[in-house]
Amino acid sequence: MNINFYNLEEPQLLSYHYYVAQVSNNDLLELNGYKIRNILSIVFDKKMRDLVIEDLFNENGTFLSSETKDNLFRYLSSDERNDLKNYLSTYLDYQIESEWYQTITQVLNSECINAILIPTSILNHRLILTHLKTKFSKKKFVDWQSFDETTTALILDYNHVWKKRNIFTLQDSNSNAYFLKHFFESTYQWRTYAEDKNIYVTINTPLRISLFSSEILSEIESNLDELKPKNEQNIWTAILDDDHNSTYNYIGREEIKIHFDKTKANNYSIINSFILNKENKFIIKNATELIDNALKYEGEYKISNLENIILNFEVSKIKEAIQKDESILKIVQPLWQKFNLSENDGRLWKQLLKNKAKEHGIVNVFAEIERLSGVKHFISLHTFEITYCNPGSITIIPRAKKVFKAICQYLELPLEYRAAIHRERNLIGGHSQELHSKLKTLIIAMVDYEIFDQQRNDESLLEILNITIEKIEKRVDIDFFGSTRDALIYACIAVYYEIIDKIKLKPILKIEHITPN
Amino acid sequence: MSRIIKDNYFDKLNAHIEEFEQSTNLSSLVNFFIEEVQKDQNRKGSRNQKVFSANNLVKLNEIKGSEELRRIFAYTNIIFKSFTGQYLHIHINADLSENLVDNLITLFAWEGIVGSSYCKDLLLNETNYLNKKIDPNLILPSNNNQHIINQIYRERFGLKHRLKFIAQINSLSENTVNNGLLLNLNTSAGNSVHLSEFSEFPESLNSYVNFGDTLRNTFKKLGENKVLRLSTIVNLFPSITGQNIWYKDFIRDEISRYNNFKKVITITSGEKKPEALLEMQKQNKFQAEEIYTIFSFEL
Repeated sequence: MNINFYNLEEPQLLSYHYYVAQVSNNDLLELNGYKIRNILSIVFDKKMRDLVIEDLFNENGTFLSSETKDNLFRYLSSDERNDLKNYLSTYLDYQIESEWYQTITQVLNSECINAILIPTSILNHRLILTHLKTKFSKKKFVDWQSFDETTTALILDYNHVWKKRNIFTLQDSNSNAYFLKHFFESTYQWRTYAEDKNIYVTINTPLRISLFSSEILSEIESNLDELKPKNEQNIWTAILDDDHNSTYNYIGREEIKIHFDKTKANNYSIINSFILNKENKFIIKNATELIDNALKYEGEYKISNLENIILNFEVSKIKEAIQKDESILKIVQPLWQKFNLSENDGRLWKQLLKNKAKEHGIVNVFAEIERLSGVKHFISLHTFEITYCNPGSITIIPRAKKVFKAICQYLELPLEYRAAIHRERNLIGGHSQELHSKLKTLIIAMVDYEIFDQQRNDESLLEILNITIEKIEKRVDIDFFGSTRDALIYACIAVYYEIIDKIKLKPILKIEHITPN
Repeated sequence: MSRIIKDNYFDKLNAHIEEFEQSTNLSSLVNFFIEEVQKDQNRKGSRNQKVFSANNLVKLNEIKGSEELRRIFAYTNIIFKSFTGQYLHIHINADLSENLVDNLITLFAWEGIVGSSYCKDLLLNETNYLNKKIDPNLILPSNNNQHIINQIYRERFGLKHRLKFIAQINSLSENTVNNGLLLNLNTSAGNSVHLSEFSEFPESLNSYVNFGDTLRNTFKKLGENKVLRLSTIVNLFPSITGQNIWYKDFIRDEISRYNNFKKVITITSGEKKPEALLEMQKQNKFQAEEIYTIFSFEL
């Protein structure tokens, strides 16, 4: 497959750079994530520009996650939002004026390509899709999920992350990929470099050295060095490739070694974070930050591995804490009576869905959920019937949050019901990656707001939490910690005691960076 | 093709593969089977009288002629002959065809079996038994039952083939070194090793092919004396799911409980994408001192 990058001149990108700076300053990373860059890439005229911007800066828009929309509309003034909108709009005008569209149409015509692979969110956006169809008449539009890789397409949706199919898995295909250079070239170069580096790490073993000689392996290493992209890997690549990098770093055994005294030292993965303490003041740093500023921490701070602390958490204590908040239950309980259904017959949403299916037919109900959620084929019709419409089945909640949101919306169930079911789901099961990550975010927020900087009892904890909870709430997934402010306070108290119980601070004598080769 | 691996590497790899020579024992066994199967197929008479199937000839010609097979077999052999440690995992990071895997299993198994020592007395006893069983006077049923007639002919041709097969085993250069091999294959691999029931290999003194039994059971069946003679274990394309799969036994502690084997080698295949490959390496790194990944661009 040919992968091509279309270049917009630097002066044309000035407004985009302003936009990125604003997005970054306001922690609205999603607004410049891969998904949005892919959406922006298909803006070929003013109508598309207006439709895309309208969706992006709309509280009911479908492109952004509710978290980003929340940040955008809760914490940014309308002036700030207008600035963002204007920068983006000005940039898109340059994109429209460029030869991007002509390049695309030329490829489609010269290569006789009949299918265009576009982002799923565009495929699901009726107005934009209709407009695209008029611009590229007689062309078929697909997304990565519906793309038959044995056929040829013009790929406009950059994706190197999806495990099932991505631009790297299609290397032997006849398809053509075209992306905007300023959006994706650096990311692509780093990704390709990472793949080569993986190969090098994999082949650099003692046996291969003895079979092929250390000279040949060194030659491969210098070939790899030559391929290292010249530009810095930017923050976006790092954030969006987080999962991949985690795997790579772990396997590549890039580690941090912390010496506690002359005889004791521990190695930790490079993706680990640590709690540090100096004169009763706590901070959290990740391994890279410690390595970069080793002198600042060596001999000065005491340290404890945050990941190990979380792994040793007694999850049940946090669950019990969250359950102390009964406000949601008070709203949810009367729903049984309202719908004249019994708790003994299975989950409320499933009973209601089953009744709807009886009334309107299962196919229509399924289609309606697809429409409301914007997720096509979120599950097979058969599974939908035997699990979602079957109160006897054990599923608590659909996997995708937006599908359950759509179901609740369709069944006219209040927000509190959704929150109650989320809480129930989150309270089941032990340690998970999701739980780990959510707890980590909460702990970082609590440390940042100095909750650990004094020894506290319930009373003084409540006192400081009452002051800080609003700020903490903005930084964590409140749905995960019981969905209400009271539940979050209870969770924070439990987390505080767990940290105090599990933390084992040791002095930092020396910090060492261990690299695979 | 990788962007970082260039000509020098491939030249060296090709030179290694070029230098590799299949053992004389294995080559003569393959030639013997080709001749035998060809004769059987050319013999006039009903298809039901034939000892081998037409597929056997296709398989043998692939084994003799396939450059891809020769390359993988040579490469893997070079790797595990050069490995000086105890636990090695070779992963062929490519989606090999079923045929290719089947033929690789055949080559590995035959190489192991023809490199073994045999008890001459046992082979002589079997030869005598076969000679006695092949009655010089062929007695056919009087009722002209074609099915029975075919069976009688097939058995007679099969026994004659077996006689030659035992002679072939006898003619191989003897392996006197105590380098016993335990080859662990999947339950279904029997057809890859034995072309017909008349070609089942006679029991050897220092090698054993295990078709899907657990290691614990296998060691029990072999008995202490034979286990002590084993020096190498090769796990070939193990199943990783299902019950009683010996792959689960590929745990260093479990194996070393029985004998201090010089080499324990596992060969797996299947295309793994970068992340999945790293995950596999992570999971198996405790099972092996070295994981040698053969990339598809090397094949």
